[in-house]
Amino acid sequence: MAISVSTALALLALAVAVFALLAVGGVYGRLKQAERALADMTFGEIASSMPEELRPRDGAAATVVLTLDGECPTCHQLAAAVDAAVSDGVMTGLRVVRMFATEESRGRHTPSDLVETYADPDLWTAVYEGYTPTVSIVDRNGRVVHRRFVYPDTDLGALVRDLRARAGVTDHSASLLVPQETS
Amino acid sequence: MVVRTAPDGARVAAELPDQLGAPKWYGITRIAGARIQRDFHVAPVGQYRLIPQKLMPGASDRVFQRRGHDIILYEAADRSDSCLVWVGPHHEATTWFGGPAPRPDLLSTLMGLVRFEDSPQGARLASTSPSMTQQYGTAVSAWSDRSVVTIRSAAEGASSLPDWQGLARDGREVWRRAVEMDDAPRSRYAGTPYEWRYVVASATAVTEVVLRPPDQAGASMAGEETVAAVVDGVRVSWTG
Repeated sequence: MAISVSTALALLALAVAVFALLAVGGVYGRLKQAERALADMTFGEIASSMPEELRPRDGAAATVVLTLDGECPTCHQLAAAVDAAVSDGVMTGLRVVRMFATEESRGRHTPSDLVETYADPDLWTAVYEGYTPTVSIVDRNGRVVHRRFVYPDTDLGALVRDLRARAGVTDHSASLLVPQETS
Repeated sequence: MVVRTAPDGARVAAELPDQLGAPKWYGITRIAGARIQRDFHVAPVGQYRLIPQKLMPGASDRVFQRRGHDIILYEAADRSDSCLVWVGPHHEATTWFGGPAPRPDLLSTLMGLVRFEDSPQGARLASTSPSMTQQYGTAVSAWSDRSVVTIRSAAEGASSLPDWQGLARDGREVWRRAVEMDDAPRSRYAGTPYEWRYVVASATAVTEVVLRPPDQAGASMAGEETVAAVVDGVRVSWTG
């Protein structure tokens, strides 16, 4: 049975319409998928990877980065408190780094033999979050796992004690330190 | 003279007489778009700690780290209320949902829509798609133990001005209007400056001053000289 030209055209148009509908559905599905992916990206943590220089070295579990300025008094207090903690052995298993923007601001601080110091504008840009002093903890993957702004009324002793737990260091030397702190 | 950044980014230069006390600065703004309409309350940093301690004991929290600030989602244990707080080094901005925390995709839209920029002078909240949203209802307020000063731009505050002419002073116009009070405080403060709020309109800003009565019974009350200081001394400009 032969079909007339008009029936053939109608069937063809129907086929095209069905195809167009499927195509629109497909595009809509992909769009929804893209929206969800985008939502996941924005909702999740901002993955900011720290430069190689600031990642933990020599078997350290994490790096404690102190972002310091030359002039602010709290910066000097924080640097001194962390220095004392390092010499007391409270920071075992952590790499501690002082970060300055310029040589000039580094020069305003008392030099320390115990703590590594960088005065590098590029590194500074990677860590600086618009406030000094800031304490950041960087894990082995270069991810900032903890960041804290330090204020003049912050309890520096508690902050320093808190750092090990934040960095996820749980070895026996931590518990051995408790009697030292109380004595 | 104090220079502050309003929550919408405007520059507010305020000269307030000493009689008004040493203030802490707060702010409010609203961002509204097709899917979102939210009020944001800006406060000095640290007050968000009261949310899980006092306002919603046992509230769950979830922290999202961002460059230069954290965003914390608090939700009450019984899910009766929740809020999102942007916590910067100097200020924080809170928006309350009045119910359970919104769906993750709405939260992420909201987090993506609001840009939070903190500085010692104030925090700025801006929309990342200004063509799709409006920002309005912005006010800056200075709270001290002696007064509450609320500052709006001339455009925002114009509708709240009285219909009648005020006292003209150096290019500013000053009114006083009754404070709404219950009967007991009304009779206690009758005839004192505490029964009025003072509205000072300059070319660019509308400022409202409410004096706060002292907490202790024996403390000295504000007198006419305080009122004179407000009328002559409150000078505010709003730019942007």
